[in-house]
Amino acid sequence: MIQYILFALATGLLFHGIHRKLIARIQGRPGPPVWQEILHTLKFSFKQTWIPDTASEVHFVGVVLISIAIWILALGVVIYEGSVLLLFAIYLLHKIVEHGMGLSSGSPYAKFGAIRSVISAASELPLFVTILLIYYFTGSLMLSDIIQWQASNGPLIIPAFPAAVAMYLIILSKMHFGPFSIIEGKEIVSGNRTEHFGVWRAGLEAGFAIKTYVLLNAFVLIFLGSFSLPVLVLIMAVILMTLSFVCAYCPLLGPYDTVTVQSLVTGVLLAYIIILEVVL
Amino acid sequence: MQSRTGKKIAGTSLVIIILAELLPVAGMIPPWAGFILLVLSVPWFLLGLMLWWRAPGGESDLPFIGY
Repeated sequence: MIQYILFALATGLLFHGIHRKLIARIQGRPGPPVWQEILHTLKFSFKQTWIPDTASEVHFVGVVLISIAIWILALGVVIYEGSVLLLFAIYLLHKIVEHGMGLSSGSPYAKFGAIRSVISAASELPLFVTILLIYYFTGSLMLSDIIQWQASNGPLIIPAFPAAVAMYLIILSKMHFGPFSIIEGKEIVSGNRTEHFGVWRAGLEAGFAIKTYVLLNAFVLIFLGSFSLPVLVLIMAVILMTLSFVCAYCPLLGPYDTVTVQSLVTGVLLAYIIILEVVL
Repeated sequence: MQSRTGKKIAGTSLVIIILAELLPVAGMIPPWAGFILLVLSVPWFLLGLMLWWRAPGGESDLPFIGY
């Protein structure tokens, strides 16, 4: 099992590097090499590290441990083909990490990031409707059942396309440099990550790398089906590239604009469900 | 935090990681229990390892409050 964790960690960091490289190339910059995020994480791990005087020590360090632990747990849910509900519950737990990072250090910029994290809770709205639509079509929320359903009925993305769009939006909202990345906007320095440096930042980067791997893997399993590992990673990379294109072309939205967009998507999805259930 | 503490944390959690891999294979604990052990030990191992090999020195100070 540890090999899966290390693989997810390395692949996730590599994905982050590809993401940065693609955004840079689209914007006409050379950009860093694709393995830059792996080097970046190693670099942070070698740096001098301490806890700010104003920080709540347990909280400050705890969020780093929680960040890594919850995404390893999510990886387990995906590998053992467990419940989508559990996967999305872990996704909601990630909010604790975002809030905790911002509130634990005592930095005003990090606190702004934490407040924006509360606002960006709207990004979880499409999640609930996605779950509803997945259940509507497959009659189950177990990944194993959803994969089996797709083996006999074809990819779920075809009948449940709006749900796939919503989950794509959910993944987009958690990508670095994306239009919904308001919690780490540069106008608030590094947002909720401002004071987490050195070893703490390296730990967070590790957790976020596993998060990216898990979310992309879950997207493929839920909407396209089960594949061999090389094909799976290839499909995940293609989806990541599309995300990079969106991130490269869309500017960072204002906090209230992100809520508006995500609420509108939820509204459209709800309308789709009502049409499916009542009209058809 | 001393780098010696990091070394101890990394060492202890590495033992737990090895047990989490071996015990399910030996049939002494179910696979899910081994996995839960990994969830609990891998974050400590990563942080412990990095605290061990990080550059020494540095003092805590006030957070960054602006340019």
